[in-house]
Amino acid sequence: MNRLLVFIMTVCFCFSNLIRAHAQQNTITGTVKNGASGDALAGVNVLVKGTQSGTQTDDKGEFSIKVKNENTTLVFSYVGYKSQEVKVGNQNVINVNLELEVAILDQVVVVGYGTQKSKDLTAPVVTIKNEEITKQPVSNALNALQGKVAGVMISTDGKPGGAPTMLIRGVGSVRGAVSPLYIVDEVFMDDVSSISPSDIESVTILKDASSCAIYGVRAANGVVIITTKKGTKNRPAKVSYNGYVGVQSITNKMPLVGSKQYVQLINEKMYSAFLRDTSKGTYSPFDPANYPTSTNWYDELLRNGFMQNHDLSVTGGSEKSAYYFGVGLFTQDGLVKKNDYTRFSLRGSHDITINKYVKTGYSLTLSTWQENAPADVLTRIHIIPPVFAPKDAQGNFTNPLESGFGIFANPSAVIEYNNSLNKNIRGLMNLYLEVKPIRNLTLKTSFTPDFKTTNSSIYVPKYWVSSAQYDTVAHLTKESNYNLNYVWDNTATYETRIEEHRIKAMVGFSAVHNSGELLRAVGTGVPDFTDATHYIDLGDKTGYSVVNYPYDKISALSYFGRVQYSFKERYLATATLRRDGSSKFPSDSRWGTFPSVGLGWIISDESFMKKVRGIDFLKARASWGKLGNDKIPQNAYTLTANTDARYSAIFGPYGSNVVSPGANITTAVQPRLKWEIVEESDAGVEAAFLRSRLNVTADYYHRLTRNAIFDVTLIGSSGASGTVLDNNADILNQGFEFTASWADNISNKFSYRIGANLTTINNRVQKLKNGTLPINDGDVVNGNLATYTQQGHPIGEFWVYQVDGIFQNFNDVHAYKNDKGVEYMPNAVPGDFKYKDINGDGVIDRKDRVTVGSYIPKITYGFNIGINYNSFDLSADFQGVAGNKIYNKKRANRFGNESYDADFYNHSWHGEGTSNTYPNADISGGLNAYPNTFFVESGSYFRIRNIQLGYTMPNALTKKIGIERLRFFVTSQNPFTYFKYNGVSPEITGGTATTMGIDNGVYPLSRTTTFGVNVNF
Amino acid sequence: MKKYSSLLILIAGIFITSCKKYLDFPPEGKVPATNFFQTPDDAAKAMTSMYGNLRTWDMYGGFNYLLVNELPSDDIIKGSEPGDGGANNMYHSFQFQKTEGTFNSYWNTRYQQINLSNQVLSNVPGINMDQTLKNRYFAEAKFLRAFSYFDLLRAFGGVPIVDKVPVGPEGMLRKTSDETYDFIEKDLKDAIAVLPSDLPPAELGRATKWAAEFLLAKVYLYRQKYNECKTLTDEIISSNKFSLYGDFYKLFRPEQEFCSESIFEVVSTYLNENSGISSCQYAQIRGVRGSGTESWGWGWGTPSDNLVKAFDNAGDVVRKKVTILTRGDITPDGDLVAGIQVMDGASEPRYNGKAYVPTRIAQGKSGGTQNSDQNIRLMRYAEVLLMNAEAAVRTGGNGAASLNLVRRRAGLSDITSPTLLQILEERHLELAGEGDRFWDLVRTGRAAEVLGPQGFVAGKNELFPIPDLQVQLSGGQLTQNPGW
Repeated sequence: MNRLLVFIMTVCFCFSNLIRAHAQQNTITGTVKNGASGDALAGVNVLVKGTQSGTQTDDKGEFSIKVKNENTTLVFSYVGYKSQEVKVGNQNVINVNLELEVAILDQVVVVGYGTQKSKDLTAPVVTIKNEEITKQPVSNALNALQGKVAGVMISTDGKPGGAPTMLIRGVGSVRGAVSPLYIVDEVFMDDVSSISPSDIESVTILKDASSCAIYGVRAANGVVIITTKKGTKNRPAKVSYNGYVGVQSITNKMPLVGSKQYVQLINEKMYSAFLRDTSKGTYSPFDPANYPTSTNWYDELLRNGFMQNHDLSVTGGSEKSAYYFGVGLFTQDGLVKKNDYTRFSLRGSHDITINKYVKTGYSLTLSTWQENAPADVLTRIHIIPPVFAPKDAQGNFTNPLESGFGIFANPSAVIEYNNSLNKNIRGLMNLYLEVKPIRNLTLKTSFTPDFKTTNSSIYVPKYWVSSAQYDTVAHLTKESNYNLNYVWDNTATYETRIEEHRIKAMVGFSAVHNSGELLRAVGTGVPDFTDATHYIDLGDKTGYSVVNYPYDKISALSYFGRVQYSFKERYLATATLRRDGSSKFPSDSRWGTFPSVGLGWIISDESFMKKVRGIDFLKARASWGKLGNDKIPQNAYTLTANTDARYSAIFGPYGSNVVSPGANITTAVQPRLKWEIVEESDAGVEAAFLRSRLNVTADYYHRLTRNAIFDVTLIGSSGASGTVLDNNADILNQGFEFTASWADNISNKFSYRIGANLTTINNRVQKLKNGTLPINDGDVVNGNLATYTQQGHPIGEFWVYQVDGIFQNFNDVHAYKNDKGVEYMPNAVPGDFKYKDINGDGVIDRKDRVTVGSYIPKITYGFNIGINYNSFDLSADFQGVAGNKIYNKKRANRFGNESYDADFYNHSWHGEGTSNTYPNADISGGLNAYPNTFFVESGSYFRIRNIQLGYTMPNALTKKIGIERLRFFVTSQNPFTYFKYNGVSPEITGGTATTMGIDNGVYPLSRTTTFGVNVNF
Repeated sequence: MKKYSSLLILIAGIFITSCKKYLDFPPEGKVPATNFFQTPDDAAKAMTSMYGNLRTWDMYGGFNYLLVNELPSDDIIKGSEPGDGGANNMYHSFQFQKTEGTFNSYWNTRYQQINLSNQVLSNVPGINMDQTLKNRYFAEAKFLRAFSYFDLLRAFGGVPIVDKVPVGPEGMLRKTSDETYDFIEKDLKDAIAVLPSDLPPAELGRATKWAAEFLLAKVYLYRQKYNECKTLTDEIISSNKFSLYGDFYKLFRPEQEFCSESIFEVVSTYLNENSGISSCQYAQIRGVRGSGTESWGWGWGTPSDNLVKAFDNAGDVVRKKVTILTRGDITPDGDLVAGIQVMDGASEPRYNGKAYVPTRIAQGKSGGTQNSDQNIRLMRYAEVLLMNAEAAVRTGGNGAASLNLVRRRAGLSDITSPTLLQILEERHLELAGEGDRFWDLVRTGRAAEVLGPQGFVAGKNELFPIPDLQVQLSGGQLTQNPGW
């Protein structure tokens, strides 16, 4: 690696020397020193302003440079110091003292209902800027954060327009939501895929409870604040175009068996099944010679996809107003045929200063997107036998039943006949009024409605592929979803300084309302001349069905306040308090109070630290806070009457048909179901070393969810059926987060940076209230459940039988006995899994199951490098997770003659002595169906997330054609992912907290290669 | 400037004062329970729910009833093909554990049925409606509640008594067997005082005074209160409301539902496109197993070789032919019994003929629910006569009069002074396959003798184990039965 770096640097230097210009006349000399200590600074860049020419100071801090004339300005820059510009004038000697700067600490960071200087923060808050996000060809900005932020775990959903799963500091809920609160321009959102990444100014992640507590009952899973772009005052109009086009292709295909191997495995499977019960018929194998066709379903169902993105924006401002206007177009073809996604977005914002007291403005974000979504074929791709072609010689879909291997749907026909088209519109409108009635006091009111409509249409024509795959009459399903939310925020902020005390106080109240409904109608017999005839009215007017129900209607009201206090600029304190009331909870217990406090000490500003060399900044901070999770099953406190038809009856003699409707109260819900409470403590250190080139942040977090909602099995005599939910568990997530970065300039033309982050997660159910039973979940085949969520263990932990080899023959089976000479698994056949009697009680039963880890990784990490050389820039991001597990359900879940993957064929038990790890082909036969360690595989992966190479045209050239900046770039997204798991992706999205990581077919991983351009006028 | 800030303050003021209203509204799109039990219609729906639930898989229409009430007897076996649900043979061989889900389900579903009654008893009083009708609903609720407690009592011994909603700590504590019986008796006496003697045709299927008396008589029999049993059954007999239906075969066909012999039946009807109504699988489970037109059902809960012998020993041809459908038989309705050739645990495939639904009725109905047009006959007048005969003998009298009515219908000769054993054997054959045999053997103390070869252990298998999960959920407060 080092050698490679040296090589690259050498090449770059040679190249730069070729294009360097030589045109100096007067010589200026001087010395550059550290303004504070007076030490000479070596390696300071001295540049003639507006040109590429310059030099560096030597070991003694001295420099010598030739300049054209006395109007020349020299720019002195040095990493970690504030740049200085000096006009040459008639001086021949210029001595400069550079001041240290801790630039990152002067950054203003968005926190809830306000901003704060990074230096003053008492909590771990991370901001990612637009440039970092738009570097990646992704439709959803959150995808671009993968591997970038310690404590934040993101799993990508590969489908076009797919929203990633995001977890901040582990999983804190079993039955409630686990995804963070997204706030886009003050509106609470569940999904931000309608927002074009290029319209985003920054994404700020509030990780700990003290920073999140200002959002109270919604913030238990962390907060992600997305700030969209606004104009800047007193700046001429700037027009920018950013765009790319590219191709997406599958990277990690999983080889499947061909027909010959398939028939062999099926025969082996049938033979094993025959041995299990020889009384049932005879063994009659298939002859592979009868199946010459061998279809690779990956190739039949998947393809390479085209993708493009174009953004155009205009921004600027006068003395009294500022504006931003942007349009964007994004299209992406799915890897699955017929799957694609198109988004068009429009954003405008205008800020107006009316007078010195009053400011107002609005912003409008409007997106419309549509998606062609085929029916799910990804769960089928692994199980479809290869023995038939998608279509026969006449071009008709093949009937899979004719091959004699059982009932399968022809997946090509599934794609042909079962597609939905979704059309969406989402609008986000923000209006605000800001008043400064007296000095230091700012009053702000802001109203933001957010509406979304989704219309989907599914047309299934009348068709016939087989007796198991047909539609006797065309069905048209139309669905219309409508959601309206609004947020009304009101804040008063007062800021003052009294001698060495600096105080900023904010109080506010906020009202939120959500409502929506769904209307779905199904009609039959609708003609299919083109899409133009897809209206239920054109159908046969019989067989209608209509569904109409509301989405949860929720109103919430909140009061909140925050005090930020700084003494001597080095002792910091932040305290917040929020009181939330929500209609989700019963009226006598709907209010909750969520406090937090954070303390910080900038140690490096203490006098005793001034003498310590090498440390430029050192801050210690500690925080504590309490949060709520109100994203729990809705209206769980409302007892409802059960009108199920089972309670109706027909009285009267034989032949009566008058239904007496029945209904009763049949459930007993816990009427006090409340929000989950997260109490989190965080202790952290931030430091900058070696002229602030090295920045380090480390945090320890301890996040305890109390009152976590858990299924409670009711005692039978209560008369209520099944389970109810209650606030019955404590869940703990704890770990460390480290972030380190190094940035340096080797010359004025060559700079580089490297960064790395690492997070550890220790997740477990800390406590279950007495009488609360563990949750057994995660069906992997025929009702066999593979996860167990119990006290002292992680959520959704795999709980399986321990495979202790494979029975090679019947002697093996009969020799497997306990102390008393009783056979453990008398009904096993050769090639079956041999399970271990873990507790030694002489029988194999559920008490012998072992816990083997969960899908939650123990470690997540990322690192990145960036190099700028002259006009070239190169960056690369890497990320990965380690220590988690995946249950390979697509291998385990079989009922008949499902196909196999090639790895299974290569390693499986084909007869005595062929394998002691892989079973016979009868994977779900006998006790092989038990969830076991064979199917639990490592979920660790390492990925090169993104590589981008850019070239910026020399300014001197582009200026002549009126272009301020012109940059070309080529990007490779996900070029390489390494994992051992036998699947197409180690990122298993979907599932609940107790079923996560069970892979029954996910969207495959892909590499995207794009070419793009950035232009500023 | 001031005007802006005062505007803000004004807005804030209006807002805060309207807070209360802002958060209070009914749940969107749901019927909250607080709005139920408001009208006479709601009360009627709740009443109906108590009957509707009886036919479901959980209660008499499914496996719980088969596995707990029938399989432990010597008459009924799992049946079907070898390997089909083979684990269920343990209910016949007494190899089950206290952790079996079936016991937990049997327990839970009986309490769920009791809850339907308790909802009526706790919530209907507040409804403004006709008091007579209200009282009838209460009486029906008590009758059905007593029925479920009787199920629980026979299976588990004394159980927690819950008689209202919501259920408090009483749900965790077992009552003694006597206390449970007392509670059942009281419910039944309350019901008898109110329930109607006759029903208009449209109400057939609902409880009558006679049904409650029937159950009370049976409870007396189980409690060995033979005098009370005798008096009560005499009363039913002398009411002349009931008579045996002449044709034992036709008695069990749908047309004879609610005939002169019927005292209580679980209503079950097939209704096209309504799987919730057509959900009773009682006859489906017991139907002939096969494929294609040979299949009428699953072939479970079938007569054992023992039952065949019992009929043969008694020379009982009429009832044997009706009770046991044997492969190769042609029924009076013209159906050939075909289907599978080998049946698990039996020397030849046989089926419970009392649950047989002729093809003329089942055909054209969708699979799975095709046999749902068969009420479950829970109380027949024949049993009243047999209870009367038994009580008579046990109290030193002569049970011949009642007994011989039953024998004559079966084409058997009279017995002038029957012994207790003769009466019990008559009961065995008359009621075979109707879910009483195992309980009768336990009640009469002959279980170890008759069922011992099957695996019955005296001192343990008289009661089933309290479901282990329930013991755990009660924090150990529910005490386990002896031997478990």
